[in-house]
Amino acid sequence: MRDQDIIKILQNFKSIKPDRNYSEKSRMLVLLSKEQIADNKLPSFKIKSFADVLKLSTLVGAAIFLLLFLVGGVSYINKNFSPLALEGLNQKSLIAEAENINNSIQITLEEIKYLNQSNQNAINTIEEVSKNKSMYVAPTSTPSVSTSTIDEIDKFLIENNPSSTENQSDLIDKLLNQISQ
Amino acid sequence: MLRNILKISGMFLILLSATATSKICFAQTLDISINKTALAKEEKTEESLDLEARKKILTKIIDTAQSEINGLKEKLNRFDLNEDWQKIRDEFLNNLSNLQSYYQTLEEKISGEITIEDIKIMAKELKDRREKNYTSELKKITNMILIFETEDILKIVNGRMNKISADVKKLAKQNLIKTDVLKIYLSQAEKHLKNAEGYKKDAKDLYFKTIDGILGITEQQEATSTEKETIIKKEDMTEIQDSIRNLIKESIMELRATYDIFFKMNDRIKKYL
Repeated sequence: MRDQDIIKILQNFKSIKPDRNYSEKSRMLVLLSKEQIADNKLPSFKIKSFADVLKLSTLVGAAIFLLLFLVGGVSYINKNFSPLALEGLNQKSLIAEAENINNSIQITLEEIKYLNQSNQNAINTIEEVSKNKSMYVAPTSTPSVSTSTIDEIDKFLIENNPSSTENQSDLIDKLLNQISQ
Repeated sequence: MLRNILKISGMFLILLSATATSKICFAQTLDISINKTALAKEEKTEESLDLEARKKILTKIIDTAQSEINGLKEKLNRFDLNEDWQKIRDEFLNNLSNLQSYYQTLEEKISGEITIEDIKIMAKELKDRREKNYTSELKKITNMILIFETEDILKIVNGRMNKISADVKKLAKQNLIKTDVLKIYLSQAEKHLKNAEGYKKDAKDLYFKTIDGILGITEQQEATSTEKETIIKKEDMTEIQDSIRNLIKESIMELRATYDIFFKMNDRIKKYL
């Protein structure tokens, strides 16, 4: 066969076309096969029903719980089993305890101080009532007992306020001296 | 005739003058009488106002005293006591209840028909009762409260001391940090705590030893004993109560010193953490 014949035959190949039915069928097959591959690649993110939603949220929840458990566990272990984890010298609890004790003592001392003063005020006022001097001319003297009581209570609340500028220890010293006099 | 006319005229003038004089006298008498009534009314108003003021003052004092007694009762009932101390507490509670009943009776009397003289007598009685009984009773009760409150605090401080002591042992065992200074602090804190316990114990023992005297001075006994004896006894009791209070004060100061050392130890530990 000559070269020219061969070229001619090859040129004739250009005009060869597939059967129309065959080509459509083949295209359909190719397209279908792509869809299947996509389906197989990400099967867990395909949400089809409520059960799938539930499954997904359970998984996410479990993951979060595990994460928190791990973080909390590490912190707990560090706090309690660490060589420098000290229960008695824990600053937070030591301060809280000291404050509670301070408040408790202070309240009692203030109450005792108030009761002593109130008693003395009452005795003085009763003495005035037992005298001949008219009481009505000085109506302002009437609420003197209650005013004193209110003043005492107000003072008591202010002094027990943690924001009070006065040092609590100094205050307790002062109170102790007052009630022991 | 003329003489007769003059006589009649003279008599008429005399009569007229007499009538005028009597009229003036009557008016003057009436005026005095009105003035007297007004004065009496004024006095009566002043007296009733005075009475009302005295009533009001006494009622306020009694109301305040009643609420103070309730507060004391509440405070006394808070403590968990053994049988002996419960008896003492019951005695105080009983005395306070009696005082409340007395106040209630006074309030009833005040709200009823009463004169200024009655209220003055009532006020004098009340003053005497507060001075002679309540003032000393108040000191005894508040001392008892202070003793048991200090005891409660001591329990807390002891718990803290045990924990800190365990911490120091743990640190010494691990040999991670030097514990020499911490150990010195710990022994100082233990000393202060021991002192606090000692003072509290002395206060409690003194209180309990003199309990017969504390509870013994009742109104009946006062009435039977001579005035001199009562005064001496009361002076003694006042001194004893003052001593108890001073002991409690010392105990509280020692507790504060213990916490000061705890904080120093905490500061030292913070450097290593």
